[in-house]
Amino acid sequence: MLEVKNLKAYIDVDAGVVKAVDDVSFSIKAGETVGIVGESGSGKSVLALSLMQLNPKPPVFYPQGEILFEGQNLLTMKESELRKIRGNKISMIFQDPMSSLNPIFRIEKQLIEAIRTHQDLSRKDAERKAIELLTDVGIPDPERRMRDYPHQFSGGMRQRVMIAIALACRPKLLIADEPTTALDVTIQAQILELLASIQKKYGTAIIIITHDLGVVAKLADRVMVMYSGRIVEEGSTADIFYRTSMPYTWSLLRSMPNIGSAGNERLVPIQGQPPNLITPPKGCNFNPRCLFAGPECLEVDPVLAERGNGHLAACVLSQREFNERKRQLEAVEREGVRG
Amino acid sequence: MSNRLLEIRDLKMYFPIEEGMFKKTTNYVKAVNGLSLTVNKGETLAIVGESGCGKSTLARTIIGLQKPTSGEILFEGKNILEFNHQEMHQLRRDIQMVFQDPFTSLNPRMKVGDIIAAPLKAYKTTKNVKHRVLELMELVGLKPEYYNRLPHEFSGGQRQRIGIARAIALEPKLIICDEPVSALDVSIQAQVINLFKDLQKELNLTYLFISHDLSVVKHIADKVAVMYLGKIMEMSENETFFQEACHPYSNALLSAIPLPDPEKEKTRERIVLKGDLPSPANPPAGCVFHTRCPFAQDSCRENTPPLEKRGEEHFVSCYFPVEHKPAEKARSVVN
Repeated sequence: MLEVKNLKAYIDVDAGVVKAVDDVSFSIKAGETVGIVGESGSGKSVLALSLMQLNPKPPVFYPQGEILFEGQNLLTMKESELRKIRGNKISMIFQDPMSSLNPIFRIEKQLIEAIRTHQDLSRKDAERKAIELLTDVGIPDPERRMRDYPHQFSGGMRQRVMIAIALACRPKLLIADEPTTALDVTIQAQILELLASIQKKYGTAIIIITHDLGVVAKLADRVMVMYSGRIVEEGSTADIFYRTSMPYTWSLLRSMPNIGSAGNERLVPIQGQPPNLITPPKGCNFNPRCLFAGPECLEVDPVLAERGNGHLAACVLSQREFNERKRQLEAVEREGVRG
Repeated sequence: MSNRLLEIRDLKMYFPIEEGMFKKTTNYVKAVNGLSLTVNKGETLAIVGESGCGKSTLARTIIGLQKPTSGEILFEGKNILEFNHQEMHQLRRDIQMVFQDPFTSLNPRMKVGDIIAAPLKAYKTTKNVKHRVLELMELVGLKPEYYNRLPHEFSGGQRQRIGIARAIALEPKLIICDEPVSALDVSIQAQVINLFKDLQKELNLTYLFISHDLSVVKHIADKVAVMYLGKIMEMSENETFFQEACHPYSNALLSAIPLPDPEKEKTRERIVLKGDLPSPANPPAGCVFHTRCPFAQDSCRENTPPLEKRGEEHFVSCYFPVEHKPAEKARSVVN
């Protein structure tokens, strides 16, 4: 349904050109949930906004690539045509539901606008549809709440309203950019359940962008891990969590605080800082922070290569070498703890 | 006991809601509503709760930024609410704070060295300030060449290190950390958590660690206290909490955290809470949690459950705590 080919999205700043998305390719099938995981500055949000063509141009420009949605290239499409897709076939929800709703209009107006922009419905019908949508996303007493302004809703309820607006036209693809980061854990759990149920009910494909591997483990069928503007590992959720092939993914999993772990053992952080995207390191972008980096990593810039069953990883180490190195390192660390 | 560093007894912090032309007080926001706890020397007590539960208000009250409505705060056995100016001056040296946002808690016009030196100069503890600052910088993992740089040249994790160096400069007895890692990226978060642990070991620090993230708390706390609408719902030692937390709210919090493990994530049982946090201006009668509690009975709506001892260092405020069956416990041990 959606196919991204060799996409580059660069940002022109005073200090140079930031390679925010650097040669990224992937595809999304109808009805699947794909997680994009990465830290701040890894380019995940720029990538998401590229898919909607919502990045401000300038400073963002696209030196290369194609974004094919149902066979049409969004990168070369006219603004008027893009408008027919945005909010209709592809819609998006953002991290902060307060700043994405207009504070001076009632929820009703904002919902009905979203519906009537793309669908030829009378006001009455649109209103009925709006109530239906609010019921769907679990807002109690929708007829009354429709007349409320955004500030009268709590954070979780606002995010539900955003989801209702995003779903107004039964999109084929829903892009959720950190949808639960601003919410409390118990409310996050509610919103994640809601996204899962929407997916089941409407068969909407969902791209969920997050820094939280837990969210991905819960929702996603497939995961893409981004680091400094590139996808460094891609595979089924099980591949990523249980057959990790890229040192960055593995390090990220080790550094995550986890309530499922045994005791209050020490976390293993990733040393150093994410790289500067104006002048990325030579060779593999992760080499300055990688525990397994060898001389080859300073020279070779690895590309995504097949590890079996659609599992891709960008690392010079083969799966066997990686597992071997991992075992050695873990043995040394255990020794260190004991000594 | 001499081991007690901080003891809070029945603390209440109400903020008036003023309405109308004459600012008539119509109601109160009960941010902290009858809370008691103790922190022992050298341990880390984590206060966990969602936004609006009063955990930051609690922190601000302890450091004396606001005067509580009622209750006692005993620091080393003395009630700080009765302190005179001079005693307060000493107290501000003994209790330091690390803030959530490393961007707004450092003065953008001051150099790193001056930021860390500020408390040293204020209390005139040492003649050789620069030497001490460099020592502190080394302790928190900052390179000496950063001495003359400005905060904007640093990433979030590095800035948090500057904030920590400033907090430990006067060798405080208690450090209150208000969400110190929640603004940081995962890979950096782990670095800062480990730094807190190392410093505690090295300098024998006591932390009151405020956080909404139970997974972070699990890695740093000795004891965990769960707060809801200005009250403590459950308090216990770390291990007890993560294995046999029995307040329904604690269990809901635990099950709401997505595990970074897809298999476990699909199979585990969870308590999903309905609805939102009630307003602290108008907390529910009886048990404050009853409006969202899946196990609430009539008695919960009428009476307020006291914080009762349930085991060694384990206190719960609930009439119908979740029972952990022995079989279930055994299984979790095997797993």
